[in-house]
Amino acid sequence: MRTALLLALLAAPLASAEEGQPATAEPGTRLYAGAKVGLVHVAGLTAVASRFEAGRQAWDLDLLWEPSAYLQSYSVGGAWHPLGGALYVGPRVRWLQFRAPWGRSFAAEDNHLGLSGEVGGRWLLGEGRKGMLSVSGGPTWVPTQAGTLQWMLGFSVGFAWGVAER
Amino acid sequence: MRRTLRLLVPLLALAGCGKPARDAPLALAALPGPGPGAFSSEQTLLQRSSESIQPLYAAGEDGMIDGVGGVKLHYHVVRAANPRAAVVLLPGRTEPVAKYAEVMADLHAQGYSVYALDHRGQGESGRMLPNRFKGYVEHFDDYVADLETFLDQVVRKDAPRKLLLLAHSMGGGVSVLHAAKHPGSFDAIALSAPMLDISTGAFPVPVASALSFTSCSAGDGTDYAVGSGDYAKDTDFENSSVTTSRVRWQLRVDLLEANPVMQLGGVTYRFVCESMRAVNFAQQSGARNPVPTLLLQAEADTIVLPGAQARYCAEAPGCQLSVVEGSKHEILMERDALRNEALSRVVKFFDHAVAQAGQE
Repeated sequence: MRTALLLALLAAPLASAEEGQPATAEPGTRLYAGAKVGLVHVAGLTAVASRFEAGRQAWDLDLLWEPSAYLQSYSVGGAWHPLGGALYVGPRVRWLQFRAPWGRSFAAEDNHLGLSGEVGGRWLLGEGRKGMLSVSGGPTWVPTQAGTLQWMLGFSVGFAWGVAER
Repeated sequence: MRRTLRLLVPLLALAGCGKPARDAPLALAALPGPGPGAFSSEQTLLQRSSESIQPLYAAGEDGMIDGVGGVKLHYHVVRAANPRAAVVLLPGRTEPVAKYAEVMADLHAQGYSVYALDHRGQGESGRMLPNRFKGYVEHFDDYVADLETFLDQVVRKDAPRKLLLLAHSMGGGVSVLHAAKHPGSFDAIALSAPMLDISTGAFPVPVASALSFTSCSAGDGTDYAVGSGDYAKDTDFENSSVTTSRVRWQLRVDLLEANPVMQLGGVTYRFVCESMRAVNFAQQSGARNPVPTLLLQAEADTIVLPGAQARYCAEAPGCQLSVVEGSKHEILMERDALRNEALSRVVKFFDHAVAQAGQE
């Protein structure tokens, strides 16, 4: 059952691309707000601005805060939907903090730049397609000297709701 | 000409020529030092252990002080009659200071008093979790603060003429962080296979860091990391990753079996997260350690990574890298040929540092 659901989700963008839908249903840009869970960052709050071209998903720009007392991240991500459907690829620039500034032992050296590559899907669901289910994953490179910190793998699942559009 | 020089000076500074000048590496081999037979040997170690090493250790002072958060810290002091200097000894993870009785005896025979500290959460020091086998630390900085407390409350009270530091593995990681935070606390520092970057073993780095940081982020990180568990008696000398000396390996096994209070198991996720954070700091801290430092690198080390040690030493202006060919991780517990050579380098380095400090 779960496999079937996964396959259906993966096939959705291809099907929508083939059918050329929806022609005029989407606005030019819609702003979504939502939350996500995953690893390495356990939880996050996000705002995604999605750009539609000819009614198809084209580009996204998002802000993501993944708060934690341990390894939190502030990031800006970009996404390109090459098939005009849910699937996307994109870069993410992170500001990582080993320890949150409000935690004990926070130090200036706790701040790190992180560069991520992300692959995933953002499926538009529900009435007016205002719901957005997202699944994403990818590596993050942290340009530190310590080998154990240089690469991290992340994965997340999230849901957001359209709150504004134009 | 002057104009050219005026232009060149800032360019040279930008190119790194403005870094603090490094002293020429000490030619340890050319320095006078302990002669053959100055240190204990594997052939007579068992006999010597019962006849002189353990009695010397037992005659030392045992004590407890309060570390960060009130955690009880155990220390052991072996004083020389007229000490040339005080050596503070910091062991590695899982190691009780009692394991260093042989090293203490060797340093004592060279005229040094030795002050050894059991890190929090191991040896005879207090634990932070109900399961005393779990290798855990809430903040790696607590080790550094504990060392400073030990210096203040125990070592400096004896008003040693010179203060030296000998640290192994995790103790080495603690030492370089302490040196960055409290520069000038010691006259010289000797590091044995310091933990400046850690091996994640069979786990690829991204997987290990993902597991660890997820666990630390989602909870308190008190679960054992994958592959870790409670203390289990070591029965496999042939595949030991730390030493090639059977007799020293056996002494360590016997010590832990006879003293359950000293036993420690594997690491928790929190320890892994804290260690990853700490080694990153440690690698950036070389330039902040101006103290003469001898870094002994174990050529066959599989526990800590040598690249980070070399980088640290290149950054620290007073650091000298000295590779111990063929040695596994625990250089000071290795077979005689390796251990005694390494210990000889340490004693020569300390003797030189004491003599230099005496001239200033």
